[in-house]
Amino acid sequence: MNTAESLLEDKYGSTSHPEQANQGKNSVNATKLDSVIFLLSLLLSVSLLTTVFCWVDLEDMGGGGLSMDAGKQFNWHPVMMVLSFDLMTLAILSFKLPLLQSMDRRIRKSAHGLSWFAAIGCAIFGLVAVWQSHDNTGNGTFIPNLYSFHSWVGIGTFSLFLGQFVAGSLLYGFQLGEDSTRKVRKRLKRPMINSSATKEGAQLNPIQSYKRPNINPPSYFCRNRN
Amino acid sequence: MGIHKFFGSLVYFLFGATIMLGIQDKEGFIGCSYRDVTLTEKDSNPITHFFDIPRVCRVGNFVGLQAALMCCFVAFLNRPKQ
Repeated sequence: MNTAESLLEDKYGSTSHPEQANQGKNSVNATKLDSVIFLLSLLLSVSLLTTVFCWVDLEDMGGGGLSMDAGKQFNWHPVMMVLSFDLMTLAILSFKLPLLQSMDRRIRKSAHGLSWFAAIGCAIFGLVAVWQSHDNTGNGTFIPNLYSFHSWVGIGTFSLFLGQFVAGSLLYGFQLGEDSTRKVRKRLKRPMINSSATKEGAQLNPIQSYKRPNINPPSYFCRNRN
Repeated sequence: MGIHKFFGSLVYFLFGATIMLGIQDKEGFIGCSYRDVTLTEKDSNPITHFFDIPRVCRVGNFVGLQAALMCCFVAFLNRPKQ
């Protein structure tokens, strides 16, 4: 590894990715309260799913239970939406999960992406279930689909969710965004650092060029005068 | 990355809010109120009527409370750190 590369790595805290360095710092700064809240939120997500299963099992919820029959099909909607919400919680906290902290950044990113993907799958299932339950009441009448405030906010949120998922997948999953820009920037930086023996290189990063062993700083001044 | 994080959190909290709105909607259809109780005086101490609320409504309320609490926890964990 040459001096320029080592300096580039030192700038990012001995890792190739600045975000990884920041996360390492965050994990060090994580308080005990953070760990407790983290554990509580995981327990709560399990409890929430259990409670919603109990809820849809009650007689007043279209007879209770989960089924694709008319009347009971609606019950899939709360269950799948809460499951989606739980998966979203996992996705959001995947970069803070103590189990994954020691793992490679790519694994954490995959866990994050897969959780969002599963969440979107559950949300689509839940939306299809509620739509079909409105169209298939079993008594020859139909329930309107998008009339309540809940449905309007829900459709808006789901659209935002889809947009966020597509943009996130393209920019960070398939490396078309910031990461690739960083790679290009790094590639562009290298020749500039290596050519720091030139006047421009010295002006941009004089300290670094002084660190290079085979460079004689006074030669720049001589060249400037000429 | 900042925009991605912002929209991710926004989607999460809106999703939580939608769950709560949905519970409210469903409880409206069910007709959540004190079951088999006609109030002849002011409801000054509502806790005494807790078990007059139908079970489906109580459980639904707890689902909503848990979703709200989860949003609070995630907001705390995602707070900006120094």
